[in-house]
Amino acid sequence: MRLLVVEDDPALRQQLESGLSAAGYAVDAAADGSEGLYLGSEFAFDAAVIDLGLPKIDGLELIERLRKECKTYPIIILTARGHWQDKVQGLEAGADDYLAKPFEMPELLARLNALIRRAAGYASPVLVVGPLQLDTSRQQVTISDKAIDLTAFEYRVLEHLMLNADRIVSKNELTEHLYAQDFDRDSNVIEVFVGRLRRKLEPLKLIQTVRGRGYQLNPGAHCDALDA
Amino acid sequence: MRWMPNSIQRRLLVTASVVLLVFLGVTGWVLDQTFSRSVIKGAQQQLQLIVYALMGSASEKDRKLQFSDNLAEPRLAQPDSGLYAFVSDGQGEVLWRSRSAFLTEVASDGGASSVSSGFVFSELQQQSQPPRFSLSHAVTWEGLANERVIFTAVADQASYRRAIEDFRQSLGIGLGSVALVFILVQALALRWGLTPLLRMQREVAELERGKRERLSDGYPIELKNLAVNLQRFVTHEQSQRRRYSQALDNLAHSLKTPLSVISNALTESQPSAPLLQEQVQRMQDVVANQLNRATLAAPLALGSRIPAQATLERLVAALRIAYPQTEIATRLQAAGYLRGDSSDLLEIFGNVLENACKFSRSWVGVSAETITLQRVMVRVIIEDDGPGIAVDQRAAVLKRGQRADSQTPGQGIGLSVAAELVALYQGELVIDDRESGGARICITLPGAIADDHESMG
Repeated sequence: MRLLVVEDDPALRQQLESGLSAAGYAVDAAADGSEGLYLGSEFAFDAAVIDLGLPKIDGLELIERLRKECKTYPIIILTARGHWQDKVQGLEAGADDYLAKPFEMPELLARLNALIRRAAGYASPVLVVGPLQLDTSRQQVTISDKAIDLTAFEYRVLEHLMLNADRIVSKNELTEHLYAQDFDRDSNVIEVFVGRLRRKLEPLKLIQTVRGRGYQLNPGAHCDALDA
Repeated sequence: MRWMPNSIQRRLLVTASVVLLVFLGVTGWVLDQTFSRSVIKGAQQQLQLIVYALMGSASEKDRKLQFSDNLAEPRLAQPDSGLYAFVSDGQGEVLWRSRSAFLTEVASDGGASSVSSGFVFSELQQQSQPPRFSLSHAVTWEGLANERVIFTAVADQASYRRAIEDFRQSLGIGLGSVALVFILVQALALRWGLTPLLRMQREVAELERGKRERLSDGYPIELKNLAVNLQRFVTHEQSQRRRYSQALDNLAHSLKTPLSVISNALTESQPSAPLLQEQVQRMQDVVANQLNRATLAAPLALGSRIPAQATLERLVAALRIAYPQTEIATRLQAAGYLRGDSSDLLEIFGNVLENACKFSRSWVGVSAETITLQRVMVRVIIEDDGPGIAVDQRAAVLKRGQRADSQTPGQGIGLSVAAELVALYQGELVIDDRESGGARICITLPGAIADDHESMG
């Protein structure tokens, strides 16, 4: 999951970056509105966290312009004043949720989780593909109620595949969504992670390679596995 | 209009002075003209009398005219007296001249030789001669060799002009003193009339410097409304200031305790993280509560008229984005109009609605209607299907925020902020149970009557 963070306060930006990275997100941070607009319109994000009071381009305008450029990823606004006028204006500009400062990281993570899931069309916090269950609120994966131990990065790969279970996800897309902008990209790394993930999910043959195009979850896989 | 004087007193004075000067100018001109005309008329009549006297003293002898020198006017006999008389025949030859004209060169003709009959009055302006009036009268005298005879009387204008000058002078002095007195009175009247304004200016300055708490009474009717509104504004500003300083006081007070706990904890070798967290949470609550309360706009007088339906629908639309799983049902057609500040109203309904969304299972209902008790009110009812608020907690939920360190689990500070604002608007917020379970918050706020054309349309 790749996140855009636009926050002008350096300390808070730093905290957001490290907190969100620790939660397994790839984070691109911008210090002002115009940098935010550049990043936000150039790269594929899964969600954005935008402060309302920004230099250069105001938060509200940034959201409006991103929406005008058909960027549909969920946006959560941070407001310092916490007035309803701000919240309503933010939501009207195209944001999906708001959080008043001071906020706590778990609260932000929960909101982001819900927003990303909602954007993918899941109402429940628990994603289910066959016997595989992924609880986005607790970041826990179980197969037939047996907990599977995943690293944060493996979890993100699986989550992305499950959120997009209806289509093929290319390696390129996975790289885009899992790494921040300044990360050294090597598609081999993705292959390694997918390989590890496959081993951990055995005996389920859930992740299929579509040659030359990428990966797709195979909901029917469990039948073979259980039947075998 | 940069040239306009930027003072009411000066503006009125300038206007009045201009009007006065025009009025006096026109009056002076008319009087002067009338007087001059009557003086000249007088001169004409005088000359006419002399002509008649001349004609009366003439007698015919041997087909020639003869004159007795005993004319009634002694000035005619006195050389260079300024009054002259001639008699000439039709060819312009002078038959007789008065003694006064012996030494003085006087144009005797006066252009009258061409006159057939009757009086001709004219002003003579000839070089090397003073300006004169002249009156000629041509007659046909039967029995004379040359029957056409012209009698002419000529007078220097100087004495008449002097009379006119004298008149002008006294007219100028008279009108000038009238103008002076008028402007003086006008200035005094203006000062008197503007005294209340100056008083207000002084009192506002005193208010500003804190030397005075309120404007005095007894302003004239033209200023009464202004004074009342100003007073309302000042009172509002004062109460706002009091609220600010109170909030800052409370804030400082409430922050110092957790701060000292933290600084004490930090002197220990191993500060306890939960303790620090608890204190930070306490400080956050303090900031959220007291700072929020201090920045509430608070109603100034009656505020403006705000459509309740549009306000609530705007909020509901926003909350539907933030809480997509919650079904928000509205019944707002009869909502009417609220009175107040739109951001205050957003704050009230936003907090209550958000609370309902947070604690609901899946449904929130909003309805509003205008009701008329002693005055027009709008009643907004916000319900949810959540756990509701226990009876013994209701008072605490609304009071939360007054004591920052009291914690009421389950409810955010939103309700207490809303309740406080509602109280400022002299409205009412009541927490109740919904019949089929859940909370039911009933907010009653001052409403406004729709404009006539809107209620008819």
